Amino acid sequence: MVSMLAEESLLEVCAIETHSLEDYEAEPPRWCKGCGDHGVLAALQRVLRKNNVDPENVVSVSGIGCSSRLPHYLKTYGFHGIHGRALPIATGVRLSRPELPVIVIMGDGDCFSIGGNHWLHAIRYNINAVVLVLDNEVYALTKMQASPTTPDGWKTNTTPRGTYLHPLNPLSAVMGMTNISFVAQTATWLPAHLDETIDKAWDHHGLSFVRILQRCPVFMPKAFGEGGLNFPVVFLEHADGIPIHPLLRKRGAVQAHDHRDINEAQRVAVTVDPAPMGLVYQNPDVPAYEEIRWQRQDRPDHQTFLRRLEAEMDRYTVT
Amino acid sequence: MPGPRRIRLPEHTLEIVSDAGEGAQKAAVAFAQLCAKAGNGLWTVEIIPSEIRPPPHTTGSASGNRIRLAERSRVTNAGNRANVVLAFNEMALLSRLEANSLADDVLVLIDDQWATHEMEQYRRSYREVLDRFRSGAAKIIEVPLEKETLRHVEDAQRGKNMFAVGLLCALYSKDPNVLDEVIRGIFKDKTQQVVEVAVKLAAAGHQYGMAHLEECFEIPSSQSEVPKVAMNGNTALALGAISAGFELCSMYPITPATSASHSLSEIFEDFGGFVHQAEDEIAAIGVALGASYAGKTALTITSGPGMALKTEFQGLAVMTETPLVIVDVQRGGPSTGLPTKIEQSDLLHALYGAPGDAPKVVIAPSTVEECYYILSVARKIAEELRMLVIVLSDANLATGQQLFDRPDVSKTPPRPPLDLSPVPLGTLPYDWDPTTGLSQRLIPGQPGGMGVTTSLNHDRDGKACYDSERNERGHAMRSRKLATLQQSLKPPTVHGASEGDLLLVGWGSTRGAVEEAVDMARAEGLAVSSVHIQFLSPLPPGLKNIFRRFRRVTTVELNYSDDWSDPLITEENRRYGQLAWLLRAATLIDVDCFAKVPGRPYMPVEILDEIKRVLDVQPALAAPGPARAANEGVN
Amino acid sequence: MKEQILQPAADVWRRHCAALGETLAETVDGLENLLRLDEYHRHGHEPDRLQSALGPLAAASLDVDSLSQVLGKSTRSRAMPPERLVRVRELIPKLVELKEAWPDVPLDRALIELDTNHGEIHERAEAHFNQLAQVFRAVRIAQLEIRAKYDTQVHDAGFADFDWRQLGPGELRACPPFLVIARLDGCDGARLRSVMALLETGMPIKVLALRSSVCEAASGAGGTAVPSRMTIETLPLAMRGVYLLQTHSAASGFQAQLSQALTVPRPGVISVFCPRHGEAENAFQTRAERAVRARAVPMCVYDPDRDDRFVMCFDLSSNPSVDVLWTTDKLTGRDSQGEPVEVDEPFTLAHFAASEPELATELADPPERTDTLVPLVDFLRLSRHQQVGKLPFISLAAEEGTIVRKVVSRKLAAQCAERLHLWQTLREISGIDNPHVNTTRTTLQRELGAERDAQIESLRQNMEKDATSRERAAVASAVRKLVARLTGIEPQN
Repeated sequence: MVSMLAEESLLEVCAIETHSLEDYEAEPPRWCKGCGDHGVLAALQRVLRKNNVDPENVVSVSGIGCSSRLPHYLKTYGFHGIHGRALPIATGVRLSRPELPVIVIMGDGDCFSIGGNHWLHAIRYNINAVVLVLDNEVYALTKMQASPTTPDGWKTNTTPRGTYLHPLNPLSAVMGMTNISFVAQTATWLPAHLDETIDKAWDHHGLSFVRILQRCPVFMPKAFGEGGLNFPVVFLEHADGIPIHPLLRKRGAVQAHDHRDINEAQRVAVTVDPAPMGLVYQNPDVPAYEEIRWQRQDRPDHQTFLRRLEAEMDRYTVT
Repeated sequence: MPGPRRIRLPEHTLEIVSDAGEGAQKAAVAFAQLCAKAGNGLWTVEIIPSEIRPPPHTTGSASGNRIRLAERSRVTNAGNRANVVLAFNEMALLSRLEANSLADDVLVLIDDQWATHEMEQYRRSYREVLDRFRSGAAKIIEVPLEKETLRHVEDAQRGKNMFAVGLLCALYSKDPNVLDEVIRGIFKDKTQQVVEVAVKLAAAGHQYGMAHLEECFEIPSSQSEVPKVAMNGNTALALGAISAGFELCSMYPITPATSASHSLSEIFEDFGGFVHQAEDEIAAIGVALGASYAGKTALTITSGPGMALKTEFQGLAVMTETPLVIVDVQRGGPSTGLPTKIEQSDLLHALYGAPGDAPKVVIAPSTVEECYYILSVARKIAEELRMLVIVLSDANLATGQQLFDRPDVSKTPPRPPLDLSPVPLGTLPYDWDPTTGLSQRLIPGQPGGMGVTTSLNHDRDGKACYDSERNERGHAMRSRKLATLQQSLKPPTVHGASEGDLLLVGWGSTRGAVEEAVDMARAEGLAVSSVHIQFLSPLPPGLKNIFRRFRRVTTVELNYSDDWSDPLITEENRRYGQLAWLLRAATLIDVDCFAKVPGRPYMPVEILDEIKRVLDVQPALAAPGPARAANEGVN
Repeated sequence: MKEQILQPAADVWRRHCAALGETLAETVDGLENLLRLDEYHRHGHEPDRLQSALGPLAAASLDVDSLSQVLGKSTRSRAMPPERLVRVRELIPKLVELKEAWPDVPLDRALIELDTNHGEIHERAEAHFNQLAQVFRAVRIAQLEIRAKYDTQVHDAGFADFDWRQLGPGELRACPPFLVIARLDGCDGARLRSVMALLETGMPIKVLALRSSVCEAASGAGGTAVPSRMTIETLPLAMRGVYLLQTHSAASGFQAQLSQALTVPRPGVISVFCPRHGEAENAFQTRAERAVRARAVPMCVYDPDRDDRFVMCFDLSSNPSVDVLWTTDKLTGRDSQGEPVEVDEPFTLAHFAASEPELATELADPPERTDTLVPLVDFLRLSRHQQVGKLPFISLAAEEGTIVRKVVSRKLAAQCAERLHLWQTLREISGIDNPHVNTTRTTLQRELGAERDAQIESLRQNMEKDATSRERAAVASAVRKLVARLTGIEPQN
């Protein structure tokens, strides 16, 4: 790890080289017209440009699903892996190259269903990464099966007569975990809010869990009250929270919320109607797993390495 | 004092067993070190109770060690049935008999306290077991272990084992002063008082032996010029991982692989690495893959059930051509099977388990020494060829301690630093050389190399594509890399003559027993040879040529095959051992197999028996085959 | 005493030098890694290297020569271009030289007295910062090389002319400080001006201003409270980019605040009230706390980078009771007549003066007639005319529980007035007290109060109306029922 000082020096020089939005665009996205994923991609590109991040120094990791195609369209190093397993791969990247920021993109089935185990543990590890779950409440790529967040009684191809159970509430699940450091919710039809949320998630040190309610115009056009038109939301407001654009104040109620108070955050997380939008919880002081491991590790030079290896061998030497 | 009569022998195999917790293992460690210092070759194996807290004084509670010591410096396997057994109680003794681990004329040294114990049940079982031994050719010496120990300490549980080591020191004509040194070394972290008591007890045991034994053994030895180390395969893997330059090992606990991670966990942080325990097997390989993708090839260690869970990720590693090393310490299967016992039955899974065509490198170490070096090979191949490398070890190597030449640590090369130089314009992420299939990989941080690595089918530019031509090209290139590696492999060397009546083919840890059996057979004039295969994928060149020079070829492996003599088994439905399947397909030669699942290593005599059976030679008047003896008992 | 204050400065110096050394070492490592990597690309796959990488096991099953040929082809193409290799090779010894030099440099090199010739101070400061600039220049070049971003076309020009002005805030923060020591006893305007002149260049020099006594003379014209002279506490108003810390050396957190101040990437003034020569530690601590209470030495921190708004940058929070002008003591005892007396006495500069040798002469015993005596705090509120003929006094606790009164000289009274004025100014510029805010607050309270009263009144009226109508309805209903009972005719509804 390069010391802070050397990084500062470097920033001074490299600050003269600025990046434009095109620098973060790979191939044109192949999502359906009106898909909420477009907005998330744009927001990510804007945040990278704002912070003038070199494209080669970012890694995006995804699972399988429509949303997980994002790394194909973002011009950084991307890993489009297997269904539900983006978080372990991201953990591996963070553990071996802690200087590279990581963005994880998953869908609701990818993260909450097959990836559920990794999801809970990743939160506890609090790896320093931006974790975006694009929740369209259905499995879209495989043509409309129910996901854990599909609403009550909804008809899908695997539940033709309606779903059987109440949908999972990811916010309250996360709020029950240990080591949570950042929990936020936003929606793709509130672009100003989406941008600010991703911005804040990027600045946070720790695992920034963001659930993004996302329109799927093809398979779930009626979800979220006709794509956000009749979907009651309440914006969480705090001086250090996610800023609320004046125009958004007409789209929903505004509620003061202290995101540093875990009990209040848990109460908010349990609410589903109206859906809370904004920073639910933040604790900037939770250490990240990779920091803990790197701090305890010694990185000797080669001579010391050999000396220590000889000493280890001595322990097993018999003659 | 005249002392016991000395019998000189080239080698001996002894077992020390007690109830779990009575210290037989520590006694064995001390005795093994004593022999190693004297210059004997050694192979030791742990005898492990199958449960954590078995009820005492039962066959299930037997714990201890088997030690094979020899005049020659290289001992390659755990040997045949034991010549000597020192047991703390008759149930531990009985368990070794039931495991068919003792020779007919075994010398039994047993603690005699049970003969006059207050519990009638123990007195009875003691008598019955000893009677059984006496009805055969065994020789029994009852030793007052408990009584003698109590003369020096109050709690015989803590000390009997040291008295026993002293006794063994006398039985094998070893130097009691060296034993003193060894014990002080073993107990160096304990209090002075504990050390002195241990030393005193060992001396007492030695004196007792010198005074009461009629005969003793002398296994001569020679001091070696090179320093030697003794460790088990898992420890060797751990040290090997460090010298191979790994920085991350991610794992999930599973028997019998976990002790490798334990050894690593203790020291890795001092060498710039760490062990990550993931939330499950899938996450373990996921983290290793992520780390490898980010530029630092990582390692994951598991056993059979874990391999199954990791299969999807194995496919991902192959498709994305991300270097990765998996160590599978094989154990008895299927399913949970026999977690602490040896088997070699993950071969075909390692080769073909991942869905679709996922060519990968599979190699298997055959000795503990090879466990140390094999990770350097694995890592190099993985990184240079952008391949998944699976190392197949097994429970025998994992827990067996072998003496081998101390590796020259100074030759360990430094880790090359991460290459973050910019990528020339127009470089493709999968720029396959059309002949070899090799390509340079791009790692995050290299300017100009940005792009997505996808699990979908892709072409040279890394972009997902679905047409036939590019799908076939991708397959061809990934497969070609195996051929590229194969071109640099040497044909295996034949142990014995290059032609004959029978060729035994083995892989993994059976090598020692196979070669010893071949030596025994050749000494009797039989035209038998053996060959050992280290690279299972790609297979080394020249196999067909080697096989053709023998009238019959049969594999020797520890996995299941149907017996020709079993009912309903015909040529059409007989299931072969796993290496036999592979070799039959690769060479089109009618390779047979000697493939059983006893849960323990083959003894050389068993393989010798099979050689003789195959060659239709009358077997020596030995006991019936191993599998049946357990049911019938020793006659 | 000076040593006590210089000790934390020396610690900061040592730490920064060590950090510089470490960064340089790391950078050298990074460059050497480049060379190692290049060497690996060129030769790493030669058979003997491959052999030692694979270990003895490989020889049995692998043909190392053949493998070497296959693998070597592609990696050789990754070797570094020769110009870059040359640049890297030349850079390393320069960095090594710097690395060896810095950790052992003593503090004296960057320590100088204010009274020295200014030209000389400037020269030495420039030398110090330019030397550091060279270190950072080398590190920047090296980091660019390590990341293969060094472009001779683009960067050569920029690095040709490199001095301390090109350094960024992070780098300046890491520079070992350049200290100018000044003694500022009395109200030494000349010295203060000298300090200001020094800081105008913008070089991140730190001035350590030490004093052991408080101001002696007031400077206002015509006896008004408003001081004419420059005060160190209001320096930030004139020089917005200069960091200011005023504290005393027995304050808790002194070391931390001093370290912080020495590290800011800006010119800074650190004003420290410190013990007199030979003064005991406990005695000084008490004296310092009294000085702070009396507002003679207001503790303040002005950090220009803290916020965009001035009031947020100026921090008075270390002072006791910032919300009031004076802190008060409750004095109980007996007066000179032996009568029990209890008085809430504000603690002013005059009270502090009672224990300061230079100022104690300004206090005198009161005369026989008491009708001209006015408490000091009230006296200060009187107009010029009203003050004529009056004697300001303060009450002090003396031995054996007596409360004595002392008359304050005009001179001392004027100083108190000035101190009061300064303290009030500080409260205003740090945002604690603001007449506009106060007016708004009062108006708001009044309006809200009125609104609330109106609401309550209207609610009450509604309730009464409601009650009245209910009463009427109930009565009507009861009457109907009675009629029904008496007449036997059920009502219609």
